[in-house]
Amino acid sequence: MKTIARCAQTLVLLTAFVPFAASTALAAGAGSPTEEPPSEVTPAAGANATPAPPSTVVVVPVPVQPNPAVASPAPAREATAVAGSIPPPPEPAVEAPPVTEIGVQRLPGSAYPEPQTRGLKYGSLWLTFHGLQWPYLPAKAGRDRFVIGLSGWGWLDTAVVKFGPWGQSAQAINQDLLAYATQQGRMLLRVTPTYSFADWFVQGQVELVGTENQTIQRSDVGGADTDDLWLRIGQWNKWDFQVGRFEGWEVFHLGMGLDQNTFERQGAIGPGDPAVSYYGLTDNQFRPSGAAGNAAVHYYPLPFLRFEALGTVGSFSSGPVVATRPVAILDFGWLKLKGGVEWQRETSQNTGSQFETTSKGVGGAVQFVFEPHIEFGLNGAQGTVVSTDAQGQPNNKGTFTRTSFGGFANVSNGSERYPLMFGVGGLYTRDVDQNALSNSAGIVTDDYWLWQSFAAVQYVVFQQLYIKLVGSYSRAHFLLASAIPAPTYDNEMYSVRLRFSFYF
Amino acid sequence: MNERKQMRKLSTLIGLTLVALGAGARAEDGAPVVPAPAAAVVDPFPYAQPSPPPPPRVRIGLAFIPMGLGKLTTPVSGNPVQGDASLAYGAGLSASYRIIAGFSAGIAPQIISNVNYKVPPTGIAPPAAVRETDLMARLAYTFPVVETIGLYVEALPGYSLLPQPGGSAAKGFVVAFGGGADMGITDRIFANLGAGYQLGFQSLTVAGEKVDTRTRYVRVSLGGGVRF
Repeated sequence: MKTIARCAQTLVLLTAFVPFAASTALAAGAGSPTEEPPSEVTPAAGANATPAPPSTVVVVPVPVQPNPAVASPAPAREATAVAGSIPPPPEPAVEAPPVTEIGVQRLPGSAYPEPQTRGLKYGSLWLTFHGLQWPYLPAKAGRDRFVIGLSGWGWLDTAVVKFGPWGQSAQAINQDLLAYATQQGRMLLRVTPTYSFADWFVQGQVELVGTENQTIQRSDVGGADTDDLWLRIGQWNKWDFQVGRFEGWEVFHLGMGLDQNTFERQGAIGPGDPAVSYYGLTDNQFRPSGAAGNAAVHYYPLPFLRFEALGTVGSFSSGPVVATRPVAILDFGWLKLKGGVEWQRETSQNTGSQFETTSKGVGGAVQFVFEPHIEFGLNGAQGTVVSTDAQGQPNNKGTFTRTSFGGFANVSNGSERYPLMFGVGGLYTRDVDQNALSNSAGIVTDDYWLWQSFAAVQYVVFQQLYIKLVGSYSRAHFLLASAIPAPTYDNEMYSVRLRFSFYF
Repeated sequence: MNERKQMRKLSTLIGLTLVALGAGARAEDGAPVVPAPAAAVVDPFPYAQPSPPPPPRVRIGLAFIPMGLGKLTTPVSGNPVQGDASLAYGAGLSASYRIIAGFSAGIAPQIISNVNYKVPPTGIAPPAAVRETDLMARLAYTFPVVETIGLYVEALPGYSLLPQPGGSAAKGFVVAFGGGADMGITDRIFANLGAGYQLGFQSLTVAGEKVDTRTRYVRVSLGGGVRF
């Protein structure tokens, strides 16, 4: 009896042990920490993964080798070889590459950093990165990785415009009596190869552009073919050095209207009018034209403080150019302060010419974001341009002072599913040059001002397709120093524009 | 007695075995390979809404009203002369009551400044800008498209007063038509953006004869208000 009981005891113990051991093994198997699928790394403490584009799609995965220093075990091909089949080629005698993962990715939401709120979701401020490093593609779980990020955007505008000049300059007025419609568009594919290890990165970016008119340029024929084209190296959220063709950090924010290459951005400036455009620390902000490019150092001493020291070198159409544009951004999310200065000097390619144009400027902006319903901001900037001609004589028409100030406001319903937004904005610019006439009645100089304003409504379909309707009004006033008393005239412009945009 | 002890031990061991099996089951439950049950997936945009409160009936709003692409008609030597009008701007107040479904009726007085010619017609001195006062009713129908968003059409018939520099005011019927979008920001607060066209049929009596003194404008309305 005792023996039977012992036997039963042993059997029961074995029965208990086997499932327990099995359960322990299962618990340590699939899903154990060593095999945990890599998760997207958020940019900084408190960062929200921006849900802009949906999930990541890895198209070309290469086998992952968690520890490149350890030789991977030989594949058991011999064991699986079928009799009569062609033997597999021998394994190449190379060591495991230092890059442990490569993929082509549609940029995930985390590639668009948002350590503080960038703005109301889907709004104009939200589509701005306020100096943050993006696309943000850090190494994952301590492993090196090489990723080719794919993203881009496209827009199509259909617009109508009507000019209505009046005043004392018959020639300008005749040239400005215009009303026309246009459709134009731009779509670009952004390719961002990124190698990341630890918190370091080496990144490049090219934006391949397709255009529909936009009045061509970029040496015409097909118009623009490239927007960004740059390389940079640095440490995420600490610093980087960037060189190539790219834009400087935005200081002036114009809101939901006044987009580039639009009628409202041009304002009430017709073909018969002197060129007047707003100044928002913008001489060196946009991508340089011609054979010129930028180099910049970005420094991130604190999560809410960012600096850019940008320089430009190369040649514009008239000759060599050098420029610098340092900008600082203090970003608490709900409050953003931006400011900077800039300087640019352009000379002639002809070494015998004394042509020279020097422009300087200073500007700043303050923006407020009260999620999820209201954001608004104010901008102000002033700059001077001093120009001499080839003989070294002052170019009075080319020597002027520009002043711009304005603001914007966006209101959203805050709905995740049906995001609707209204936006308004206005911008005033004044240009006064040194072209002066004087007689006993006094002195007059060319004096122009330009008012640009808009109202916009935007709806985002499926959180992807942006549909925006913008109505704008602009007025320009010209006082010409061609006689005393100086003749004056005005121009007025109304436009309506419907834009479809897709960010991917 | 011994047999009883043995049986106790046996039953204890069987109990431990069951515990061990149970532990195994828990470990398997904890393994992430087990797919989450479908019921655990949370729809971020749930369709099933609790029964909504009845839509508010009273709506009070304030709007900024820029008016452009205008035409102004005034008498010159007893004859009406029309010319392009400057951009005018003003403010409007509206108060309406929802009568049935999306239809509401109310009042919408507005004051418009800078009513003037862009370029004075030949033969008259540049007149001073005047301020137009329109006492209008508002009849509107709002189509609730989705939550927080409604599209509306409106008609605003009324009576207009258009003072003349140094003279009596031109008076007459005015009507505006338009449409736009209402956007709920909270349950009570809304913003709206609309556009339309306004026609004035004001006239002035000069030497016993009525002469047209009219305004026509494309109007934009940017505003907000409360509903309750």
